[in-house]
Amino acid sequence: MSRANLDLIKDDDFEWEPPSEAEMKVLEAQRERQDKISKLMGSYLLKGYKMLGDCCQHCATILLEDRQKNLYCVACQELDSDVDKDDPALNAQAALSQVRERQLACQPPLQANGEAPLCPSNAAPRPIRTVPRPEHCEGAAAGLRAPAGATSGWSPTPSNAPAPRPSPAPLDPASVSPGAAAAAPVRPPAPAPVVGVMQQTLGEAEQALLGKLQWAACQLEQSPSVEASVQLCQLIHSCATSLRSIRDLERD
Amino acid sequence: MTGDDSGYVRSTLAVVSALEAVVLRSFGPNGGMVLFTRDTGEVLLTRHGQRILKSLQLEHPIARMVVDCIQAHCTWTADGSKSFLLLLTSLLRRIHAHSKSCREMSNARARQLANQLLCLCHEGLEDVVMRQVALCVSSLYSSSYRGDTLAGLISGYMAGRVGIGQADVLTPIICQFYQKWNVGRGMAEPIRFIHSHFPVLHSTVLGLPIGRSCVQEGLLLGCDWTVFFERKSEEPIRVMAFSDDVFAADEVVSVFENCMYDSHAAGRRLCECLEELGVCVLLSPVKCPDLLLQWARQKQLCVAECVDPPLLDLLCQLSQSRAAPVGRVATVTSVSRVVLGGHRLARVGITPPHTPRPPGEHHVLHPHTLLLCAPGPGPLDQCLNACQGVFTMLRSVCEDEHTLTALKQPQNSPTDQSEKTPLNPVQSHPSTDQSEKTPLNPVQSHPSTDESEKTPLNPVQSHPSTDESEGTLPVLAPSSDQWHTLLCSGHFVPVGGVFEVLLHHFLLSSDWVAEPQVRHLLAESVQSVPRTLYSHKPRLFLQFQASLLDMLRSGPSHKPRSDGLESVSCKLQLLSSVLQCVCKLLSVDRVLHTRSPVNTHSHTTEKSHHEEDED
Repeated sequence: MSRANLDLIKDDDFEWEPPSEAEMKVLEAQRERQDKISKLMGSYLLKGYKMLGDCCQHCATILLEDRQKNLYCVACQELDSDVDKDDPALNAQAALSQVRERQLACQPPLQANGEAPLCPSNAAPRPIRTVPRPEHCEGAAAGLRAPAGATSGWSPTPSNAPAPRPSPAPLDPASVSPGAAAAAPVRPPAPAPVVGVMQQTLGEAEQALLGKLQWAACQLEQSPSVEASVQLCQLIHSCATSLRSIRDLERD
Repeated sequence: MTGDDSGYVRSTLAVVSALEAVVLRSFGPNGGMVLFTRDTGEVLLTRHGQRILKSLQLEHPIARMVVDCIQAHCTWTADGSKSFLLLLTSLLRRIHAHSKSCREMSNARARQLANQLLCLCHEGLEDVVMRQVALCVSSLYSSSYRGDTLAGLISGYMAGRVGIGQADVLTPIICQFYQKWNVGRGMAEPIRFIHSHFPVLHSTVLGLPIGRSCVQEGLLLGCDWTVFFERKSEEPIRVMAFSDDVFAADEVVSVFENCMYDSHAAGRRLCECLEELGVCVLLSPVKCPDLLLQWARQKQLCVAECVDPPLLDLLCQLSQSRAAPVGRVATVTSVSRVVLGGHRLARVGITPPHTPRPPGEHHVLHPHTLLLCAPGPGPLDQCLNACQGVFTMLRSVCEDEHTLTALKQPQNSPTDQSEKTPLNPVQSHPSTDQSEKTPLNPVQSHPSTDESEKTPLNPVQSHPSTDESEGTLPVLAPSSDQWHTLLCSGHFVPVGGVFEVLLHHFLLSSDWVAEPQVRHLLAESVQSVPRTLYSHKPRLFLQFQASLLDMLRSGPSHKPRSDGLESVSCKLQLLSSVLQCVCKLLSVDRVLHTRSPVNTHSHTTEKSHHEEDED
């Protein structure tokens, strides 16, 4: 390094600005990743792997060699393949988990009488009371095919949100993307099942589905997230399909 | 160079971080052990950092350079291989973070920081450590420390090397071993003596628990007697120590090779010679002929074969032997056999007479051997290395210039020493009395070095007045009072991170030493060691740090303590080694891989030998 270059790095000429919050997060993530790589490499060295003098062409991590002379990159073959399952952009289950976590964090408070405010027209949207675990959402992963870059982040529902429209627009099944039995990332508490005669049961089921449909429509109006909107649409589609089935049963 | 210049620093950090991850699990007194296995079924169980690093397969040049640096450091201090890696990783991490912001010249920025750190090491760090940290330690701990200082020093070292359990067993044994060799005021350099002769002053027994380790009187020969007859007489025993080539003499070889009838004659001549000398014990570095063994059985002599030649040399020196036609004749006080379970070892005792020696005459050494037991080869190797490392560490403490400066204070008279109590050490004399002396002259500070080469076991006259009048620094093994003096002057600090926390505090407040960024970088890196010690409960580290800083503000606590100690000079040496290693690593611009072997010293030596042969 020439003296001229060294002179350029004089402290009084070197203007260093502290990193922004976003850069700090990136640095923190990089550091964590590097720590994981180091830990994995250390364990492999203790298992008898050889540390080579070469680096991986993809990620520049130092290569290891096992006793069978096979090259092994800790980052490419172990770390990154594990990370994919937690990446919401690549894994639907991870996306569901992340949406659910954010909704939990932004859950609006209940009213003074302990009851949740009613939805739709003249009241604020119903708050979420219980949130099921995403692992119980069957078919959610299959139903969700989030496009790359889709984020599940959404702004919290404000408590003074404008009132939704009086009645939701009628659903056009054709306009809703087909899918398997999808479940919303959050669902209101389901009414307790009542054992009774078939007609009564079907009636009550119809009522429940209509209620669910109404709720989903309210949520859909206020949801700023693409991911949540897609899931709500699928819920609406499922409810509509179920309603048609019930009406067919009643006719029979 | 390319636009983004941080590739080398990043890859260096990756290598060092991987090595750190390897040794991290066995760091500290509560650290675990590593089990290595080979395809042959051989098993090695160890927590010795150097051993672990040497067992790894490392082809990366940076990794090998780091391991070499650690080895060079441990050759002097025999400790700190894992701390070395922790500090090195922490420093590189921070340097990398600082240099990343300068994208186009991050390598140069990293190198600049490393150079600034090295300048700090050479020009200010010693002052901070010895004048601030040591002084603070002296004020905080010298009055509250109870117990033997040397035992605390050994205990602190052993706890880090072999773990707390084994340290509790081995520490008193090592202290006893040292005390057995440190007899009398005239005893010179017992630590250096033990360190240089340690390979022959210890014996090992495999298959027994570590608690069976002990200090045996006399010298253990490392093998059992081939022929043994118990001697109950208390008269001195004459021992014949054969030379290496006594059985390889031309006349004897020709006799044994060619003519069977002449072998008896030669053997008879040898036996007659031994009978004239009046020897009762035969010690041979090689296998003895059957004829000699047969004769020894007839005459009821004791015979030991395949004795280590350095051990024979030591025996002859300690017993003031004289030359004989076939070797040397020494005089010992006893020969016996030590039985430990199924193991038997030959022992030769040299007990000095109990008559008081006139003043000025050399004190006769009473040799003892350290007997180490362990259930397996791995723990045995670990104990052995740790015990040897203790004396290497003590030697580095005794030979450190700051220790010598502290010890060159005039010795007190015997009456003064008898009135001293451990809790009321005599105040060191002010330096104005020593103004005529050169404080730190490494040549003069080792006046006995030349003497030790001539007569390694003759102790140097230790009368302080004589030494002071000559203006030289007497190299004495510190007596127990002197160990406590060193503790009172802040040369020893309690283990557990006290040094690092204090250094962190004083570095940040010493504006005169270096630039704030550099001081901050070093101060934060130094704390990585105690943080790792308390990594199982980070809250404990914060509590410890807070209580120490409280003590700094409010004064020393009078709560008595007797925990382990560590040497401040060794800590300073560790920091210096790490900073030099950082500089060395970051001075590399590019790593080139070559296919042909690079010319090394061994390669050129072989080449020159080959050329000579051709001539």
